[in-house]
Amino acid sequence: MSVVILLMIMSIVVAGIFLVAYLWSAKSGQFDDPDAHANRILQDTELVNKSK
Amino acid sequence: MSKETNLPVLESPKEKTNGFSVCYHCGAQTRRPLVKHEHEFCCSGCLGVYEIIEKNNLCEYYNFNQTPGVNLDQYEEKTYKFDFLENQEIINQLIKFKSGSQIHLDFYLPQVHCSSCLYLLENLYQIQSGVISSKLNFSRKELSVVFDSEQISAKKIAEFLTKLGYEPYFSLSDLGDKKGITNPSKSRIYKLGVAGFAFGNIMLLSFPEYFAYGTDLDGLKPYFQWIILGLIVPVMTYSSTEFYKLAWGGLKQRYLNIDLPIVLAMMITFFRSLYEVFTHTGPGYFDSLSGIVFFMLLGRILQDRTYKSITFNRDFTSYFPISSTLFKEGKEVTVPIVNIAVNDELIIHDQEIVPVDGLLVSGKALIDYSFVTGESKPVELEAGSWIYAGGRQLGASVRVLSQKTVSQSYLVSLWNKNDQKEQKTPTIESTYVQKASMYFTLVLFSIAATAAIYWGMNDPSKIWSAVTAVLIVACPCALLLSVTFTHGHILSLLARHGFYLKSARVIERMNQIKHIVFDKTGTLTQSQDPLIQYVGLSLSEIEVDAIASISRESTHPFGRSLAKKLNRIPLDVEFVENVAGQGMLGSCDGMKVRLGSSEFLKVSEGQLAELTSPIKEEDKDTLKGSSIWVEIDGRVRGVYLFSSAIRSQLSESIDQLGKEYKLSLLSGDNSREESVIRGIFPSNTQVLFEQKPHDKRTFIEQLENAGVKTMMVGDGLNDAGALMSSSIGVAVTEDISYFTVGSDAIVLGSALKKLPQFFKVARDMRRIIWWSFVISILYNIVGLSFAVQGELNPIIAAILMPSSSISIVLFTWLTSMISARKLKD
Repeated sequence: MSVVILLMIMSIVVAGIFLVAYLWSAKSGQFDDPDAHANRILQDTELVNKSK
Repeated sequence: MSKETNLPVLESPKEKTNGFSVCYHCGAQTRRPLVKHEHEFCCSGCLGVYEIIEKNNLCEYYNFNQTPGVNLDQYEEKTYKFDFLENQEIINQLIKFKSGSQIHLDFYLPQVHCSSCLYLLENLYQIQSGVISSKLNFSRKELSVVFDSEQISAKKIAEFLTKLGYEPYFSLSDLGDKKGITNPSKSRIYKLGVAGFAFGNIMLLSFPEYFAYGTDLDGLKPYFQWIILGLIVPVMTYSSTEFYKLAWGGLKQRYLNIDLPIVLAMMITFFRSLYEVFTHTGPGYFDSLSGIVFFMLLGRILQDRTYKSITFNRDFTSYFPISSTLFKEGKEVTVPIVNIAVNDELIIHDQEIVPVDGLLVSGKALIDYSFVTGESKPVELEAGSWIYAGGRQLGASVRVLSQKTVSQSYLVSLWNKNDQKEQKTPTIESTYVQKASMYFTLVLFSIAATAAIYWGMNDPSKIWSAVTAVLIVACPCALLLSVTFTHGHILSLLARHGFYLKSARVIERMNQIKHIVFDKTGTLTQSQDPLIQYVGLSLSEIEVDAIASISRESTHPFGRSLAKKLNRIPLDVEFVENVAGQGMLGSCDGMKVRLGSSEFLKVSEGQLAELTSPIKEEDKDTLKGSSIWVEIDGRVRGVYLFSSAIRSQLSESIDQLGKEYKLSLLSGDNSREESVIRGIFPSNTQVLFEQKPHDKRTFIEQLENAGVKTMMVGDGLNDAGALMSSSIGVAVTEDISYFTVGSDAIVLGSALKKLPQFFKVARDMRRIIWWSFVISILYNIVGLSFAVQGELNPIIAAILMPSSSISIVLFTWLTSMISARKLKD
């Protein structure tokens, strides 16, 4: 029986982690400007840093 | 929505067509390219940018898109342009954040257009020393730059951006305190997350309650309930706060909005559920409660997104410049325009806007008032003439003695008058929704009262559970959902087709329109892109090339638009001279070309009659318009006639509209194009010419006062007064990021032809909402039939509420998609 309690707590904790991840991504501005992020990921920043 | 949000991919230019080269940077065609590293460039400006990019190893720029650059052929260095960034008073107001020598500053860059721009601008720190970092907000075209003020000044950055082809634009509205403004849509996203989290978990944890009756899990129910209770608290105290605020706002203004019954239902659900949990009489309705909060927030966010793409309520400050150049004690100084006093001497450079009403002191001004009057033809003014604020000087610098301050000027006072209409509209919710929710609430209370009376007579112990159950199940959230989702979806569909509405109320008002009034210049016609006809002796290809090449160097806007329209690849110009106010002469490829007015070329009466003989007698009026005469090697060849082009496919739409609505046309221009207009409008149309903004406004007011609901379709700025007075003011624009004062809707010029379809969709939306009301009421009837018996099982509520929400969302989504098919070309 107690295993159900344990599972329940774990499920809430896992869901909580996702909630925090969501809030964090919202706070860091991921939902502000969807277009720019979609393009930024394609850009090769490593190459740029080498040349620096 | 993918079509709209993705960055536009530039079309690849045609490879070396007809032996011409294509500029590696901007894609312009050229005859004599500058070559570097096997790449060809059209001008030294483009080559310069390439060199900067190449030197800093950022050539990746050219790999994201072909020829991503901004054409710099017309670029001239104007050193005075960003002088105001050295003015301490101005710069202090522009700066977002400052710590030590580090400064955060936003630049609005209208030229930003593709992913290469993003790449280049975010790597600014590699190119320009002193820049610490830069981040581009693509949708707002705003570059946030962090720089070290000891190494580089804001002015230098602005100039450098201009050199790269991204000229920053500052307007008066950038001044003022912007710090500390939080983004309301962002907090709504947090709230949605919290509500969704709670909703999902409460659902899951409620399962044992519903399905585990009599099994081993029964003993665990109290634990589950405590967790649920813990989850519902943030939903009630955080996620739903905005509903409380709206309901309270409505209550304070003494009118019943839809949020009030919703908050009431939420409260009753919450407290009854609390009571059940603490008295161990039941599990409560927490799952349904968190579900409705989640769905309602989702609907609001959807609606938000639609409104976000456009900022209404811009005022003149976003059009006016931030500063002006004053001539004081023999020196040129830059001052913020709000500081301009009467009798200050202003210097207005080419392409600058006159910020205050004043007198022209010296220089010959050529003022483009299209912003104020709608007349597309610039006005020539002599010294001593009065100049209104809002005019744009074309050509050499002039001096103006200010006669009024900014806030007293004609245009601004017109503007301020317009503000009044705005304050009358308290919410974005449309009136029929309010009416519906009012009836709904009344019916609801009478059902609850009837149930209470019935049980009071038969079984008093059930009064409490029946009444609360009625109020819980009949929460008008389904009504709200159907409205927010339909509005949000329809508005975004319309926006995708170039029709941007300020609020859903506008759609509702569209259904009452009886009379549509059009403005001409900039509305039916495109002032940016005139129709140019050539009349006279035939010209050879090379002669046209020569005319295009010479007129390209013109300082007069007509000359330049001729060059643009001819769209030839320029020849090498050997010599060119502009004669102010008359015309220009030049030579290229061995031909001597003179362009200008008939007086300038000394065209004789006989020649004039002969050359223009192909024009039909009834169309002779077109000669009264603007024209450029052409002379090559001493012989007058013919004339280019300018008239504003009627937008394509507009006449069909006007035909359709004419069948259902009464139409009128008000034009600020003279009647030279009357025949063209008569041709496309139905015969009973009232057509008036030489209408000042004030006349247009009076015309609309008369109609409105007579009870005729009128839609004014006009040019956003100069028709501001008329747009404000009409039931629906529709501003026509080529670029939605500019202006629009006093308008209820904005339509892209290219989408104007779809106006009849927009009306149809507006009608459909009303029907969709009506049907989703019917659906939600059906659900309510089912729920109520349980509730009045005092037997609302939580499991029934848990099934009924989310399924009603989801089915309404699906219904509105599907039907509005079907309706939007009408908008397809």
